[in-house]
Amino acid sequence: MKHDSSEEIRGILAKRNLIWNLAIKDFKVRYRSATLGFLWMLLNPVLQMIVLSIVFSFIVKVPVSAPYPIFLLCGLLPWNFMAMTLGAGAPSLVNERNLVKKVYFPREIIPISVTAGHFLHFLVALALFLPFPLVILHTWSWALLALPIPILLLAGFTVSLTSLATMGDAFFRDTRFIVEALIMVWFYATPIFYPIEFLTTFADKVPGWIVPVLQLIRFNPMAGIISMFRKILLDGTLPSLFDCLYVGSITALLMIITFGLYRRHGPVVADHM
Amino acid sequence: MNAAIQVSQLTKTYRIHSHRQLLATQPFSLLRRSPSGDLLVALDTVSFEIPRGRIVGIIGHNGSGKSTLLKILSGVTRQDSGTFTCHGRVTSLLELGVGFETELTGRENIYLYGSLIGLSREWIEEKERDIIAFAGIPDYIDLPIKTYSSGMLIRLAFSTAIHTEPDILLLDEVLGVGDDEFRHRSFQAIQKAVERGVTVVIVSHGLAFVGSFCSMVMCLHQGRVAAMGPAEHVVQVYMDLVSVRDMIGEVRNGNTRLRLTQGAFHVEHGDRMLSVGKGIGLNLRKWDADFSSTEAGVDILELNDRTACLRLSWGHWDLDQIWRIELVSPVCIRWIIENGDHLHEEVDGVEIEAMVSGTFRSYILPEEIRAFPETVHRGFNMEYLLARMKPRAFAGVCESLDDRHSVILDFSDCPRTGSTQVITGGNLMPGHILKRDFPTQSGNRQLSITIHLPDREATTSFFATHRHRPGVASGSLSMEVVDDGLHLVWNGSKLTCDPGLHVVSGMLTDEPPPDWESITTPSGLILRATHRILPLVSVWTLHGDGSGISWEVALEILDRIPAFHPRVSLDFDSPVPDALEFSPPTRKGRDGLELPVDPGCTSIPGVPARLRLAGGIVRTRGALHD
Repeated sequence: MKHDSSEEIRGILAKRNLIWNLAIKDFKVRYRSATLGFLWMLLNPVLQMIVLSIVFSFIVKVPVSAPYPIFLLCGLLPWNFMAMTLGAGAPSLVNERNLVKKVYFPREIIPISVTAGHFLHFLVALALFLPFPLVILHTWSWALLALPIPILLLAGFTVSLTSLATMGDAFFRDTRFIVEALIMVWFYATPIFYPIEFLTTFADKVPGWIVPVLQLIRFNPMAGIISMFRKILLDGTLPSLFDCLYVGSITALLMIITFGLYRRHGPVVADHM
Repeated sequence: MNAAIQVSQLTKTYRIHSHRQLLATQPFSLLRRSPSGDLLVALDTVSFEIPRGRIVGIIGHNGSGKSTLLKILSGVTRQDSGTFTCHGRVTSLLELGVGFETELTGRENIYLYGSLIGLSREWIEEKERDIIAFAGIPDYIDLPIKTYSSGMLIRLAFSTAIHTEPDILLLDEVLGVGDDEFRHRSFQAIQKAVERGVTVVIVSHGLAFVGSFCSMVMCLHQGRVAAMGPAEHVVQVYMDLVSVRDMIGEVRNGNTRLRLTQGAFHVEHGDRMLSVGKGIGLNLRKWDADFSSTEAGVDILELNDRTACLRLSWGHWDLDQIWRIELVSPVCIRWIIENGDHLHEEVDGVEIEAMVSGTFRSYILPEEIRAFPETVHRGFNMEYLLARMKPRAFAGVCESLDDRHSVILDFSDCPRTGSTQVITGGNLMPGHILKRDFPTQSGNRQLSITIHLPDREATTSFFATHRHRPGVASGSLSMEVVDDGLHLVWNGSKLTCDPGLHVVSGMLTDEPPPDWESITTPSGLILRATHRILPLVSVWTLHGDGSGISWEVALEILDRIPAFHPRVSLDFDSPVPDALEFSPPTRKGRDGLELPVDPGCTSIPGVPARLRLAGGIVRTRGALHD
């Protein structure tokens, strides 16, 4: 059977129905026996926001330009989407071995459906959050029209990275633990509860070898994405072109690698379950 | 295009890793073209073509590549080299269990499965009702399938698969599961589909099934096509592969040889093979399915001239059995099976299965030999021929009615629970499968089976030993349990006709014969007849001496029986011989002779109760003429 790339992409698109069913299934399975059900999806980030707000605006004072909770959520929502998708997505192919070993379908569908489910939830959370900066900070502007750019980049970045981790996990079960550890470190290496400028303020207070590490944070694609969200929502200005191009090319690169890996290893992934 | 599936030079190699791959040891193998590891060739340049509208069976040993082939055809995995084309939409049911999500309900799973194989929501909505009806589980359809039994899962899966109206249906061993009724409906559904032009490929271990159900059979051996074509020919090829190449050891005594194969054994007596097909082995019953001993891994613990001790392990379940097989004499095999602890608890039952040569055309009971009815010789019908044989502990077959050269399976050391069946080996394999079921719950951890080989002496002595009818005698007259009834017998032949001397309840016109149990006591013989429908045991106390046979019957009433007017009746075909004398005298009743009952036994004091019903003496004056 010959497969070319466009045929494969068409194959995935033809299975929209399946992506949707799998995403729904994930949520049904996860929240079916919980009394509060879907509410947990909203309660968790709110709790996280309250705790982080108390810590970083009262105990450790992080200087920010906007009210701290608004500033925080602006970074926390995209981060949570990425981190939760990656965390849940990495073991997903192995968890679905019942399906994978019994039926043929493009294997990308599994991480894509995990991403789709979380993405939907992210959009809901974002819609609920959006009025606060716009009303409180009066950041209504034409720049708001650029909001789909960081959203799409975030989605593209997340789906590629998650798919990569999913495939990796199918071959080496250690991947899921590496991903967990990575997410934990990554959280602090991403300007979520602090502005990126904050890094330069204490460059003279830390040992010399840490400074280049701190500089690396600037190349963190999540830093770029969050800074795009902040520019639009907190400052009412367009995101920087550098951020767009940089994150865009990282995402494109990841997508190509991931797609290539699925082309080569997707059809035989069932042999490794 | 008339071919449904075309396969050309298909090759698939698996890498076997002794331990799970570790990121630390092989971090970049994902990116390399040829990762390391031992190679196992599952399919080796396999080429064939399957025409449209056929049912094709694939047979072969474990690891011969059958399942790999189905996986590749269904797209679950990909070949290393070679090509294949499937014309039309493919639906597959691979391995036991299906692509279902245990937390979702049956209905939700139908939709999920439908979308997995690429059907639209509208299509499934249209078929939903049919799927549920065919599966026959309407009450459970909105419950999560984690609450389903495996039989229900298979029903739902098969029903969903067949209703998706595929062009090609791939089934892996699935139809071994489920009850007979569902299996039967499944076969019908498959046959109907085939009439519409659907092509069905079935992987199976059941040779009889493949032979009678498939219009074309393919035998895989070590990843290659060993034979393909009409069932008769291919099954023969497969049997040769089993009996010769798979031999793991041999036990001899005189002119008899036992060939031990993977999880079974064959008997060669003189220059004849007495066993055919899989030979003599067993099935584990679990989840309504049979798992053959030929699927188990076999270790030889001990092997010498006369005896073999084997350990069978069903690795994926962690179950094991120890088999001791001994050729006690050239005409007697002793086979002792001991269940491991785990097996004993996990498995519902063990089913001994012996496939014997087709020259054996009659079956054998302790009392008589009967010819198989014509229907058992033909086609695939799992007829429960000897359903009534339940209490008998043995079954055998013999070559003809006159000739008592026979193979007898003697289960007399085994628990008496379970049932025996004889099933045809299918039209292509002249032979019969003798089956005997042993539920593991009844404590039979160890089974001991004696197999008597064709030998007139052995057969005669078997008959002599087992032709035991519990009873008492007075001279030539005796009262014995024959054919499930208590009868008067003169010089070995029955005087009375069925059902003999029996308790009539007045409730049922046609009560099935009771289960008899005999206890010998110093005062005589006690026979307990447990009735099958009424909650009633009749206890017969018999004593025979020169003066005649005294009998007494008491009733143990276990539960209230409405309108119960017990009588004791005795049936004769012909006129009652004059020389037969009853005391107290009989009178003519509705169903034959009636023996007078105690007046007090018509009103029953409450249950449970035990009461004397009747008693008397029967003797002969002089000789009877028959």
